[in-house]
Amino acid sequence: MIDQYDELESRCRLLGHPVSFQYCRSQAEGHACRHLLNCWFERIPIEAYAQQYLTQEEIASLLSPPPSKLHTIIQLIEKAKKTPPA
Amino acid sequence: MNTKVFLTEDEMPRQWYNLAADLPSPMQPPLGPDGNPISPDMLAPVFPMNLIEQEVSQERWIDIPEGVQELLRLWRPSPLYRALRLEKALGTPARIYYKNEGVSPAGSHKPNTAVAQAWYNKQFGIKRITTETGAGQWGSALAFACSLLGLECKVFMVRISFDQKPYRKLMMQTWNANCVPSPSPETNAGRDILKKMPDTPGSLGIAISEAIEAAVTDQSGQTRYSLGSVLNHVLLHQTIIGQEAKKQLAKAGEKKVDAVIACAGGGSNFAGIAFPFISDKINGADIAFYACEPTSCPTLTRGPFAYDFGDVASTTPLLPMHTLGHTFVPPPIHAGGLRYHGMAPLVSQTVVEGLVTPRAFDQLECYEAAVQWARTEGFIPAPETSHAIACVIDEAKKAKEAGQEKVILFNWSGHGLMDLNGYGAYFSGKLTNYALPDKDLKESLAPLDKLPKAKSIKTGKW
Repeated sequence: MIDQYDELESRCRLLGHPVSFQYCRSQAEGHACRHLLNCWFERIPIEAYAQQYLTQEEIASLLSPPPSKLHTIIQLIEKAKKTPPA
Repeated sequence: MNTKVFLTEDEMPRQWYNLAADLPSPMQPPLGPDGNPISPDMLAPVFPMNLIEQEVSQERWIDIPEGVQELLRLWRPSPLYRALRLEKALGTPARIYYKNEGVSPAGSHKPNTAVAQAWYNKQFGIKRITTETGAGQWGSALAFACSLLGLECKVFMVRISFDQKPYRKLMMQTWNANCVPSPSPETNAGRDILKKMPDTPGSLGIAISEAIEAAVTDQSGQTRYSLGSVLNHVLLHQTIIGQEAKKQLAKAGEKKVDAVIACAGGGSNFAGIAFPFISDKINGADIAFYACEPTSCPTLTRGPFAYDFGDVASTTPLLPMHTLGHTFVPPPIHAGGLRYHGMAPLVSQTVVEGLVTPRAFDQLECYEAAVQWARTEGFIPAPETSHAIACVIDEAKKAKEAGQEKVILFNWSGHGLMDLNGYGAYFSGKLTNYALPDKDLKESLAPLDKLPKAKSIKTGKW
């Protein structure tokens, strides 16, 4: 079941407080956090979980090299520039 | 024997130290989405130019403006403590020193860069600063800094943290910041998410999007964005910690330090105390550096999934893959070297070079160390700080076994008075170090052994 590990908790190194596995696998937009594999590989069979419940595109995304912080910031600036006024 | 070593305000360092000037393998300029180096003007919508200049600077020393010094003097120079009671409890011949960064008004090292960034923004004519925060350590530091300078402060706090950490939120409010849960209805990024998922707990990624959008779309041009870790100028501002420690160790009569220890999250806490000493190591000193992280997400030490091939590779489209690992082919290695997930590039490069050794500690070991610390030295450490304490205790025990009079320095980066729930979970036995049996773990990770190994650019001196 996709929710079999949802009750497990781990300290999130990004947020600075404990979060449940459910948060890690779904986060804000329903997608897994890019740290999902690194943060859970020692606690649950995360590879098997990923193969069963994540799409190949999602897995590829988790394994893709993350952009640098400045790269991300530039991308967000460009996106914000295209934002229509509120 | 004194417990504390003070510096007078006149003795506070007047310059920040920039490790980028001394790294034996120079950092490559980061690349933007178009594959070309990021130019200062590309960052201008979110950072004032005076901070962008620091971000790209290769100057070894950068003057701390008098206006920033005046703000820092509210709590700096921070005291260097000798952990005499812990030494006695451990029966170690090691002499353990720590910089108490918990004495800042926000209770951590974060205000060292928050006040500098706020000051530079004000000098640039900025009236309002936006940022994102998780648990609120950075948000509260920036809120404090903005309140000192009369700047507006807008904090997008990840909703799950907003709900779990009410006291940090109240700290920000007390310092007159406007802290809202993210996603919020105030930005397009937030509204889009809320429309799709009204009950979303949020994420740091969304909060960053909101903070940047709020800065970029302000038609007055008087809003900028601020970040509390990872970037070069942030690390630079923290180096005052290590520089003070050098002076204080000399005052304490120490001629050398054997080990420098700090926890490593985004890197600014580690960089703050370590970089000025890494300069000595580059120039021949024999010092061990330990960057400590949790085993719960050990990206520096053993994360098998932490592939990070730098900025060139990051522009590569998603890679074709059929099963996890089996057909994964890493893209070419960027000349900048291996970088780690979420870690400041400068810190990562010190690890790649072998100047710094990463170490991981499990949560029970960390809480045990934190409690021993609190029961000997009195101060209750933040959970992150406890990783460094666990390492200190381990090193002190090794010194005892070896009968060596080592000098150990570490960064006590902040108090844990806003994180007592974690202590509660530890005392009630709710925390466990659950881990897969070794056999299962090996089987699970076996496919990854077949992957090409990441290469790194280093001089090989260390």
